[in-house]
Amino acid sequence: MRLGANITRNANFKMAEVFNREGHLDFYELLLDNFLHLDPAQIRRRIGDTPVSFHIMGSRFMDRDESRLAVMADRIRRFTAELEPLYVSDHILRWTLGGQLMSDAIEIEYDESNLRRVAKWTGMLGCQVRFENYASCSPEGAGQLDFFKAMKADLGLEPLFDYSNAVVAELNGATPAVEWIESDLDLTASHVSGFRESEGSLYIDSHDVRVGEESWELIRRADANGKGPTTLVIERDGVVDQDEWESDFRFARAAVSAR
Amino acid sequence: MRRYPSPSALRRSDPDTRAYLLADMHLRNLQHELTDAVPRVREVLAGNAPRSIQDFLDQVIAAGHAMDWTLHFELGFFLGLEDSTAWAEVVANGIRKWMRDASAVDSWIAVRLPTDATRVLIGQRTQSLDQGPRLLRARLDDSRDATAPLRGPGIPYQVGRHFDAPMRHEWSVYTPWLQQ
Repeated sequence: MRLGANITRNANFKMAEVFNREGHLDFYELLLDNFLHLDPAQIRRRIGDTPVSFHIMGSRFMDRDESRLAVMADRIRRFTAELEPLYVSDHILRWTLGGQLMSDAIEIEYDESNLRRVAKWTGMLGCQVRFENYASCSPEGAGQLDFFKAMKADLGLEPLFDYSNAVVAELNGATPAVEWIESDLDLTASHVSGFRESEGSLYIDSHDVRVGEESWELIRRADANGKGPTTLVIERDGVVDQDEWESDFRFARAAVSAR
Repeated sequence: MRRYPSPSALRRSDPDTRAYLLADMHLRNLQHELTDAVPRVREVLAGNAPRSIQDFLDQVIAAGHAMDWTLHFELGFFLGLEDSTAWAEVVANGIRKWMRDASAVDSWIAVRLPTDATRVLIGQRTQSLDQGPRLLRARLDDSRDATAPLRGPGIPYQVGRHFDAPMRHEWSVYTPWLQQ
């Protein structure tokens, strides 16, 4: 298994670089949103031989018009050609309602039209994109797993499986996390992070605390079924505590069998 | 959530639902984004009670504003800000939001203060893996066309890809949405 750290900005890159030197991680996952305006060759020179994966949060491909998406897709393809990532990943989220931008992303309706939108964006990027499962906020997220199964069946797309998001979704009343493990989806590219209870019994994917035992348990269970991670990014970008982050890397090595 | 939440709609809805909780969180996030980093604007709000942030959000949502980075400029117009300190705060907030937009292939934005055509705030996005975004203050040479007065209320801005290239003389102008 390869372990990665999410690089969202310069501060956590510096920390991840220390983990890399000390042998705790094997690759960086770049949040492309914050680096897409840069020269990818400059990034390659800076990180040397360390492999990278790409993560995209704010492409807003469900909302944006095609001309703006085309410009963005062109940039992403340039990064892909230069940096040869382990995978490219994105989120299936809606950012606007009635054309007005929300302060945070909201869950989509899992229907046929949105499946077509995923197909369109994937075609524009010209590669096999792994889409991350969402930490559903309510039982309305119950259709998510079937949507991912349809993405696999109809488009040949596998998920970027976020273990803690699956736990959070279950706690918020959506699909039991174990159903993802029992599905025929390829869950080998994965994420995990800390989450916490916010207010009104709402659990949120906060990335600001250590990874919870429920998430480790789900990873162990997947691993025992022969479906454990081959890549696992431990996301930490809120209240970034170096000791806690490093401790999660050590824990991850111990939780997953050597593969 | 199927419709964009507004403070007045929230007051009419059932507080014991998950939809209410999510809408309330969204609106509180917006309010924090609009007011946390602008102490002078908060002073104006405190002394200008009939025009609250809730009034602003109700109006701007009903008017169909994009709610993007220009929302901060709109707040400045809504409150009738007059002093440069307050305007610099809302302009800086707008720039910070612009810099967080993943689709921006441009690397910098320059915005002129409506109170002083020669004063400019510049936002430069992340410069490398080692250097994050930054906000700079600058003054334009007032002998150039760049500082020509506007015909009406508005905020001139321009964006660019290469930070060390000279600014263009032509500026795009954001004009107040609520007065259109």
